[in-house]
Order: sequence, then C-alpha cells, then structure tokens
Amino acid sequence: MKLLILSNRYYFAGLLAVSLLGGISSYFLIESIINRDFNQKLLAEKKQLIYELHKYDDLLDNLYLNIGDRISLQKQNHDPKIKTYIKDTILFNFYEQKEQSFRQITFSDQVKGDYYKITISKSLISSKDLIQVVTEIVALITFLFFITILLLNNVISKKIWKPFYHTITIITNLNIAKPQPLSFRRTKILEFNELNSTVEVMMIQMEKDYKNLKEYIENTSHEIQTPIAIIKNKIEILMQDKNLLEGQLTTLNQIHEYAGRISKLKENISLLSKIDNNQFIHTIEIPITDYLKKRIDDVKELIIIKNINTTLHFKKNPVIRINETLAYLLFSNLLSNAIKHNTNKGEMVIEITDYFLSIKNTGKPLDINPEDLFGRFKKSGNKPDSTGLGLSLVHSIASYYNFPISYTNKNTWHTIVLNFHSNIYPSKYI
Amino acid sequence: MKVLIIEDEPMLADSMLQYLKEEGYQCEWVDNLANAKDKSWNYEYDCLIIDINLPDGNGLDVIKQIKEMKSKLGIIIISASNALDVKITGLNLGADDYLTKPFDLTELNARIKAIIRRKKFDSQNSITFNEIEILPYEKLVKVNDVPLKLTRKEYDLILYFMSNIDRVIPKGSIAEHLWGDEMDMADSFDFIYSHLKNLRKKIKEQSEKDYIQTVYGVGYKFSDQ
Repeated sequence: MKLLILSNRYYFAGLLAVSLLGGISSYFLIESIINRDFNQKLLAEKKQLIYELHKYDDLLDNLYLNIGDRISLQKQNHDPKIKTYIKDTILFNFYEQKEQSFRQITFSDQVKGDYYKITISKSLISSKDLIQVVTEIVALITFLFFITILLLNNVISKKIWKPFYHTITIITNLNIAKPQPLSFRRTKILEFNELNSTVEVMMIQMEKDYKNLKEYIENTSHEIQTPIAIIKNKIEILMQDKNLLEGQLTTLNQIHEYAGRISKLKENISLLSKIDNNQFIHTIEIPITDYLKKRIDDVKELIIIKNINTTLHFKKNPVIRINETLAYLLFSNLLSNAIKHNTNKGEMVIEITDYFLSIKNTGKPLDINPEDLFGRFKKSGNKPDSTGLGLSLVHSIASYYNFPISYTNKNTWHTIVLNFHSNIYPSKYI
Repeated sequence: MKVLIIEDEPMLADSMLQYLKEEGYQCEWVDNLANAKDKSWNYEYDCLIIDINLPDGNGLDVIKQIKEMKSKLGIIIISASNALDVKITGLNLGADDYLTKPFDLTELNARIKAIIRRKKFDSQNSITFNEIEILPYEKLVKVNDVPLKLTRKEYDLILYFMSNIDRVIPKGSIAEHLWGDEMDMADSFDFIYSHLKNLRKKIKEQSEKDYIQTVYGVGYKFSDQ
C-alpha cells in the first residue's frame, strides 16, 4: 500500500470520528445554551408578571394573553402549591395554523386572595431555526475542514515525500555492475538527507566491495591460468625426453592432467561468482528449441559414440531473454550432464513446451541425496575428472533468471525439469 | 617460417620457444607491447602469437597495427580470459585464432600450422610424412596415393598427429583437441582408443607401417622411429 493512501485512510477515519462527535456535541451544547437562556428569560418574566399582577388590578380580567409570549392564568379553588418548573411543550399557533414547540414555565401564586396556576409559554421557533442553522454551519465548516485536510495532506505528502520517492527510484534503478554517480536531490528535510547520505555511504562501500571482488576474480583467473599454462607446457616438454621411464612418464601425465583440472575448477568457480555478482547483464532473445538443437549438434558425436537413443519432443519454440554466455552454459551443461552420466546404449528424452524444458536420461541410480545434486562439488560416484560444478552452474543460472528447476530420480531414470515460463514475458518491478 | 611470440611471462615464452624451435620455426620473443609493435612493423613474420595482457598495454593493439599494414600474417591470441566478448573482439579485429590459457603446446603447434597453411593459399599445400599425404583443403588423406575413407574425427586425429610428429601427446590433449570440454575424460579415452583402432586399420590397408605408437601411461606418439 502506498504511503499516501495509508495516511489518507487514517486522516479520514480520525476526522470522521472527530467531526461526528463535534457535530453532535455542538448541537446539544447550543440547545442547552438556548434552553438556559430561555429559562432565565422565563424566570425573569415570571417575576415581572407576579409584580404586575399584584400591581395592576385589571390585569386579572385578561386571563389569556397571546401577544409575544402566551400567558395563562387559571384560577384555583385552593392553593395548588406548584413548585416553579420549566419544560418543553407543544402548543397550537393560531397565526401559523400549526403546532409548534414552546418553552413553558409553570408556577402558582396568590393574587388578591385567589389562587392561580400561571403558565408563560415562549415560542421556541426562532431558536429551533437557530440551532438548525448553527448545526448546518458547523457541519459545513467541518466538511470543508475535512476536504482541506485531505487535499493538503495529498499536496504536502507529495511535496514532502518527493525526495524520498526520488531516492527510491535511484536505488531501484541502481545496477552495481554499471555504477553511476548517485544524484540525490538536496532537501530541507533532515531525515531524508540523512537517509540519502546513509544510502550513499552504503552504495560507495558496495561498489567498492563489488569492484574488489570482481577484480579479485579476474585477477586470480589471469594470474592462476598463466602458471598453470607454464606447468602444463613444461611437463609437455619434459615428456618428450626419450630417457624417461614408464613410471616417470605416468607421473608426469598425472601432473599434466591435474594441472588442467585446477584450471577448469578455477574457471567454473569464477563463473559461479560472476553469475552471483550479476556480471552477465546483457541479454538477447533466444528461441529455446532452435538453440537446443544447435547444442545437440555440438554433442552429436558423443551421443553416437555412447549409443544413446535420443528422443526429441519439440512441440513449441518459446523465446526467452537471457545472456548469451549463460544460455550456452545452461543448455550445454544440461545436455552434457545427461550424456556424461548416461549408460552405454542408454536413453535420453528431451521435451520442450511453452512452459518447460525437461531432459530425461538413463543412468546409474544416484548415490547422493537428490537435494544435494545442485550443490557445489557434489558428485555421484568417484569421478576424478569431473569438477562437480556443472549442475551448480546450471542451478546458479536458473535461479539468476528465476527459472524453477527440479530434479527427480526414479530407478534408472533421471529427470531435470527447467521451468522458464516466468521469464518469457519479463515482468517489471511494480 | 618466422614466428613472433609476444608474451610477458618469460617461463611461458620459454616453453613455447623451445617447443616451436624444435618444430623448425624461426622464433623470436618480445615481452612488451612497444617492442611487439616495433618488431612486427620492421620485420616480416608468418605468424604472431599474442598475449592480450602485456605490462605496457593491450596486445590487441598489435593486431590493429598489423591490419593497418594490410599484412597477411597469421595471428593467434593467447589469453587467460575465457570471456566470450574478449574472444569476439579479438577475432573481429582480425585474429585468426584464440587460445585460452592453459593450452597444450601440441595444440598451439597444430593451430599455428593450420593458420600458416590457410594463409599460404596454394593448392600444392599438402602435409606429407613418408607415404602419408594430407590435403587440408580437400580434407583428404592419401596413403601411397590411395585416398582413405576417414570419418571427421579420424581425419582430425591424423592431422593432429601429423602436426606433432615425434611428440609424446597425452591422451588428455587429444581429447581436448577433439571434443573440447564437452566430454567426460574417462569416457573420452575409450573413444580415442576406438578412433585410433579404426585409423590404424585404414592406414594399414595401404601401408605396412604403423606410425601411431602407444606411450604407456601417457598417450600416443606419431613417429617412424
């Protein structure tokens, strides 16, 4: 989830709760203020009325007054002893011909010897309108406030987080094999500057490590291959000596062979490191079936010599994007694995569909754990001339391109399945 | 035949010099780029053996200079790098062949001979050893003027032997020459044996002699001694 969406969500929830609470409480608050105000007015009017009733005699004749406030005087036979109380009530308004809310004070008093129950009713109509209007205004302001906050949040976030997103873009596009100077934007925000400088320090260190490792691999390849070449060549010259005994020649030949093996080992380990180091960036499109046919042609002779009965089920010709060197290593190692470990007059079945390549071959049952097969230096049987790195190269390349690869062994059948569908349409990082 | 070896490692150059001189080449050696450019500019050679990594620069510069001279000499790059792009760059510049260190001297020798044959493009160019004659352009082997019916590998094998006469050639070198890295070594020795058996048989049909000698514990030797 994007940062902005998340913060918007929290803002929305928070503001909604606060504005609902504020709206409701402001309604009750205003109402209570108005009621208090009315109560005070009514109490004042009560005093005034009592005073006037006592003072002016003829007022008692007007038992019902309906100007402004409604005042009613009901003569009682005995003292009703009503304690003054105020309540809301609904009365019929003759002018507007409808029922309306009133606030009413009720009390009793003795005027000139008679007892009266007196009510003063004040129309609440204007105050109800007031409450409504005020509530509406509060709601509107809250709503506007709400929108403003969200808009502001969006605008500010986008502005504030811009350097952050810029940093992310730079990091995402970073390719350690092709280092470019990091062009972080300067920002006023301390945290982002800190982030940028930390990333920069990390990157510089990474680039340095990467360069060191790369140089180490390249240097050791160069520096080791030359002495090995010297050893091999010196032995070759020594071998030409006609005075050598058979045993001496045999020893020389063994040294010659093992010198060659060191060189091959070194080369394969360098390759593995280079793959792990992302040093094979450049890719081309390779139609698998066509490509595999060429690789089969390369080893055709071995297949014939070993009398391997080869069956090809090439139904489709899917195209994958892959580095040329890695493609060669991947497919030729898979093939030579199926040939090397095959038995004489054995079988090899190769199948290609849109989704996978499967290479099945007969061979001796595996005497190591199938899970270890793709590990480095895992060899089945004692084959001194095999480096044990062929399938780890295959595995490294497969995982580099996210091709799931699996191995199964059933009796004398060994099957390696390489799924490459995920790579056919390269999915971009979203 | 004149060969210039451009190699900064004296021990390696020494082996090459020793081996190639015995093959009858006139060999010279330089250990840096400046001398290499100088020599290849001033003298005529049939073949250059160039190491890419030189103390004072890139061996490929020599190739560039030679191509500007429109010289027809053969060029073999020897490099410790097995990288495809380096190979392609070298061959695109005009090198005829590319050998990765470590290489066998027998292999280097065979390649030099192949290049020189190709460069001296004339139809009379054949390789002969007693009654055996190889016509490389027709990929034909004749024994006592009778053409042999050889398979591709048998032809490669006899050509390799004829390029390294009187030399002890380890089986490993033969296997690498014939199959590169593709082959399991243990298997390949059996295959070499069966190819050799057929080759011997085919030569024997036309000649009394068997020049392919087995050197126990090592490999083979093509010799009439």
